[in-house]
Amino acid sequence: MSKKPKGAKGTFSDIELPVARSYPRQLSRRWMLRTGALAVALVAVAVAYGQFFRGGRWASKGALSSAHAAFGADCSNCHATDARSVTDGKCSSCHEKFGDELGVYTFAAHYLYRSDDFRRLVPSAEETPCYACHVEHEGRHTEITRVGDARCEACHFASFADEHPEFDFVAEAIEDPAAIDFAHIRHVREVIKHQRLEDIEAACLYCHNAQPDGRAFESISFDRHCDSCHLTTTTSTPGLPIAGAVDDGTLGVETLEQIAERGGPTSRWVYFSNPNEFRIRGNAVVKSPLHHNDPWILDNLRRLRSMLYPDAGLADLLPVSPDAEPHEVRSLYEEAIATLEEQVIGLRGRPEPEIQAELSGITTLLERLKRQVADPFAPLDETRFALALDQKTKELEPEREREIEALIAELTQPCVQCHELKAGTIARVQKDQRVLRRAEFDHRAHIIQVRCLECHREIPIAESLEQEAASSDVTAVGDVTHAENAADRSAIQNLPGIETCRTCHASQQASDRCVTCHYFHANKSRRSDLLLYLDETLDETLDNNPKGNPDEEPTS
Amino acid sequence: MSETDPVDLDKTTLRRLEQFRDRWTSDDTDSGLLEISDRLTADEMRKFEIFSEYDDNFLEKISPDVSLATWSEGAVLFEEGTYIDLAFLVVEGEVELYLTGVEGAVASRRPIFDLSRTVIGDPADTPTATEPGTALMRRATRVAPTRITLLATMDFDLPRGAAVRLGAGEILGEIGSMSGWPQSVTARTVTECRLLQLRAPALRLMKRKSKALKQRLDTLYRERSLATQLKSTPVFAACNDIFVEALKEKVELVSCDPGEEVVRAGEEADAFYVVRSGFLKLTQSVGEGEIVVSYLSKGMSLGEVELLIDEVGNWQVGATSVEFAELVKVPKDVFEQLIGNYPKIEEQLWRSAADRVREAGFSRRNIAHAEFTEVALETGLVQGNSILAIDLTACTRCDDCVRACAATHSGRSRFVREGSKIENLLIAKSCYHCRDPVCLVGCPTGAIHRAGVGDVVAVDEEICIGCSNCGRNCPYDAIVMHEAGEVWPQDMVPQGLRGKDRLVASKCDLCCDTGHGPACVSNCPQGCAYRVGSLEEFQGLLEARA
Amino acid sequence: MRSWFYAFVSAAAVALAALTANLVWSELRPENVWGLVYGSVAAALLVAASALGVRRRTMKASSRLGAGRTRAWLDFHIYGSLLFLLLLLMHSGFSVPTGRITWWLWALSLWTVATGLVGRLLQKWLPRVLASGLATEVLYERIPELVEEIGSRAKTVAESSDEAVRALYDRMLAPALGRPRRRWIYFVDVTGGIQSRLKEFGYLRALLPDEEKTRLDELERLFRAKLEIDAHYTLQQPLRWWLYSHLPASFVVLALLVLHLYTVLFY
Repeated sequence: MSKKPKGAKGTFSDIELPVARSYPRQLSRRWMLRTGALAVALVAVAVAYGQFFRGGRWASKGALSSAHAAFGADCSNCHATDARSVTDGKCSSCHEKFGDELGVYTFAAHYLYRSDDFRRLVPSAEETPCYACHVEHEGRHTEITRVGDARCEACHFASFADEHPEFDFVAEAIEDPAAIDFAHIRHVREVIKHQRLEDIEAACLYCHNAQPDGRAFESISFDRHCDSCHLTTTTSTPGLPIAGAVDDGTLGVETLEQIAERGGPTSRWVYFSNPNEFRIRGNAVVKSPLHHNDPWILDNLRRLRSMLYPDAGLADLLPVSPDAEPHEVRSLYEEAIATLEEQVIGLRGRPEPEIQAELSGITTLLERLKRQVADPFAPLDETRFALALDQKTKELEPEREREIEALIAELTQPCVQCHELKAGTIARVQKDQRVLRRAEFDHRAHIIQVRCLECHREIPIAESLEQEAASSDVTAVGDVTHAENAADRSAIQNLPGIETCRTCHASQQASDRCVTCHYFHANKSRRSDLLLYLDETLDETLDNNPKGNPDEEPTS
Repeated sequence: MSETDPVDLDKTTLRRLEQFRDRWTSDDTDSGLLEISDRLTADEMRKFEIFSEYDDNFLEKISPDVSLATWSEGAVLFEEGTYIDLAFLVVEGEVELYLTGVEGAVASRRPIFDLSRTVIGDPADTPTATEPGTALMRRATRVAPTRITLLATMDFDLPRGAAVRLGAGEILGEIGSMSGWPQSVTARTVTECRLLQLRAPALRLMKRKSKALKQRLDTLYRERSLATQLKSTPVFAACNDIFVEALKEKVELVSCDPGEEVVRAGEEADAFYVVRSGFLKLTQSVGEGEIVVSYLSKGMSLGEVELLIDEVGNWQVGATSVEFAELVKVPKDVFEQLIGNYPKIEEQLWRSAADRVREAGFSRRNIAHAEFTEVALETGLVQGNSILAIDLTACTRCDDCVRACAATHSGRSRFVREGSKIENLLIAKSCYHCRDPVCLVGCPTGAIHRAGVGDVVAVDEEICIGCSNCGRNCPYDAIVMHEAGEVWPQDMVPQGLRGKDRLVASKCDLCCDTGHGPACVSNCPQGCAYRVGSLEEFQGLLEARA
Repeated sequence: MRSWFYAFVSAAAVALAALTANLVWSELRPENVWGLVYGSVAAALLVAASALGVRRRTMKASSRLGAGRTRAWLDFHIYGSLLFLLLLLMHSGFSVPTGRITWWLWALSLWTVATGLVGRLLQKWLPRVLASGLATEVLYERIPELVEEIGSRAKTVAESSDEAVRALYDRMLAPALGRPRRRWIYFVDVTGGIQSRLKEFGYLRALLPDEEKTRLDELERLFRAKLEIDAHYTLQQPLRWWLYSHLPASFVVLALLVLHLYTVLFY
């Protein structure tokens, strides 16, 4: 401890240094505030420079992504006034014009996509604009196209694992009328046997041919897939009475000659038919071999049906049965339009006034149909294609009706081996229904890892084959039996539901992000519809925008 | 106060009037002060017997500090515990003095502020007493009753509940005003009174000039105060009045100079001492030298060990006065009479003796403690009621304390962050607020005074004439004379000051009139500035930081 | 002081709990509700913590308004700034921001907090070093005049001394006492090798007569005091000047905060 020596006033420490009489100011504090102010002034200068000489870029939240970097020089390239003033129009001005597969760049597209929900097309102020999901100013190397699930979750549910609803076709248990009597197990067995295939999947792929991009499969067509075994040359109709053979009122089918004699736009197929297929024995005619969609049978069937159901609507335009599902209606219209156009082509050169009258009728109908299809708001009326099944004619006696029905049954005897006959119509086989309407499923990505039957588990093909191999119960081709197993049918119900997907698409496994299956922007096939809607003048659109290829089937 | 038309008077007279008014203004309109005279002339003054022996010049000189006042009936002149620097001489009427039921005198070494305010901890919740002055002059303010230190020279010997009446020719308040200690009684006028009011500078000068007055005052003291003072010590507190009255004649009043030896260790013990004011250093020899084992302050006693314990007949310690000290010496036989009559006192003294012995032993074993005590005594730390100690292990030398002091006091700091170091505490050159302030002595105008709450010593800058007496007197360099920016006129001031720059004394006043505690303490960002009031607190700080 | 620490720990715990909840239910982005809350609280803490500077500059008004002890303000400043740092990191998603303003704001905030912590360390360490063995305590600004005083006194003493002492003075003391000096050694050992320097005095002392001894002792005392003053000169300098690394940056941080708020609210 240091002591203050006695009497040492005015000093301190042991060498008696003199005491300060006033407090000296700290040098180091003098410039503190000034330095701070100087630094702030520098900031102000930098900001002012950025504002006036660099177009306000100082306020940028971050670097633009590399694709947009060229626009960074001038904020007004995208912004009108402030950050929230980037309109969808600015985005679509480039992305629409020089568009790519993704199609139309509007939020409205989101609703239209595969849902046909035109009611939701009116844009409202609460619609999420482009920039809400595609966030810019995050840095040079950000992928703006990468949209996190959080964006979807803002309106939709949260997770694939828990909250994604069961697929519609499973949940709604859409009735898939078995318009065809097809037994998978038998056919697989036969294919394996006859083609000497190693395993079941090879048999699957024998009929279910993949499309070039591997996403989906080609439609099953009789000609490609069934023809090799079915409708062999030995198949024939029973003997069918010839119409008008005995007298004018005789019920029967028309022969080729009779049809050719009748003529008309619906009978051009006669010229391409082979008369040797017909054998006339007395008052009966037998046709063999038969063809799939055999025009002679169908023509006669139509004739007979129209006796029973005179008001069959547009159904008679179609070469095949007109039982339409609502989502098939458009294609039916397109088919009808195509049929009519063919007829128009056929009739155009003919001078006869009756034919001209008929032609004008056809043309009118054609125009009407086209307009209906083109108008996105006009609901396409599937009932036009349905038979007026409850409107059987009242002018026939019941006995006559029975006769007609019996004749129909004989006529279509070979067909009903596989097809269904209802009210004088062979029911349309529902194939290639768009099961997943709002999502995309790519078979190719899956087939590499998974075998067909691991997902398509509903039809117990493998088990049945094992069982049959064990019990050695072989049935020859041609001996068609109805499918033993209700599950062994080609129906929507036999497609896998969401639980099958969840075995692999879970949070730590295969991707369960929204965009893996769902695309936000509508694809090309719906693009034109949207353009129509978005365009102000509908007529102009009709003139300018031809429809897409009518043969192009919707992919599933 | 009579109004005088300024135009008619010359500057000197004006100035004198101003001075006079400055000193005698009362802020309190409810005070009961009916009238106060203008400055009295020498002739007017000589009418009073007390002034009879002085010449005109002298009377002129002291006349600013003298006034004649008329008080209404039932007016309170001053209250217990307040500080005044006036003495009252009753001319006409009657004044009653009484205690208002506050606890009796307790000898203690309590600091001005309580612990929570000046040392470690949060500011106290109790508001400082800065209400306007009570009945009296501007600078006497009331103190919360529980905070009174009733040590002090008691003016009157009053048993509790009793009252004394003084009539014409009697003096009251003189001791309090001269020593700067709080009043021990409340004074109230019984009838309408005319009182001659003498401020301390005048009284001091008068006492110095006139031996007769000095004697008179001393006698008064002995008559009035000694008994009460004795009673205020723990030793005699239990004695009855008669005994104390008798005692009062037999004791000797001893005044010590700085460093004077009171008793020497080893000599025969023949008396019992009670300290009236000042400090005594108790030493014992260890090895070749001497260490300080303890110290005594006001109200404490010396000699119980030697007088009570039969085997101990010689002084066990040596006692030396640190600065000026006043003692009461009780002869051995009187002491024995005392303990004979009052076994309770004897018991108390035995306890005190045991404490003393234990303390001595402790100090001998802990030389550091002894050294600290010695240093504290020599450097005057024991004097201080509120010493600014800065903990150097936490101080970042930011000088916020100094700047805060300057900010609170118009840009001029009242202390410097320099001073002596006691281990890791820096004792800054800020006023210690001494228990016996030396700076009060010699102030010609009374500008330096005890103010406000507790025992804060403050300077009234308007009155200060910058004579630098206080600055010269202060042993701790706590008072700074700074220029006021004006020059003294050619009159109205002592010859030596005329024409010179006016200086003003400034010193720490514990920010007593600001309403918050000392700015230095509350503005330290590290919280390492403390105002320490006792040696125990010092030691607490040193230990905490060790 | 302890209670501030506990308050800080609890506040940090709350923040981290919020962060956990945020990560579970949403994502960590500055723009969503969570991020905005973090940002707002961080901004509020920043402004409140900066108020320490105002408190220290407006002592009279603050004391009059009953603003409380500066020590408490400092505690709040330290802990509030640490909390601010945590919330800043949470607000920016624990990644470096990409915009110009935001990058500078983030970087300078980190710098400010870092320099603040360094300064706090200095404030804890240097006074302890200074208190660890010096007998004198001097004001930094007075050091030049005090050293000059010592120098002149030593010269006076030396001039009245004998040859031997004067020689010692000329050789060792005159250059040493010329001006205050800073040495790194004082950071490590505050007595800075005084012992070795004073050995020479010891040698000489034994040879001298008594009156010369007193003069030599005087010189030794002056020399020792001067060395101690050197220690003060060295160690008090960082205490004075470190604030320059902290305060101007904090001004810029506040300015950038204003700009950031402007761009966020109006753009």
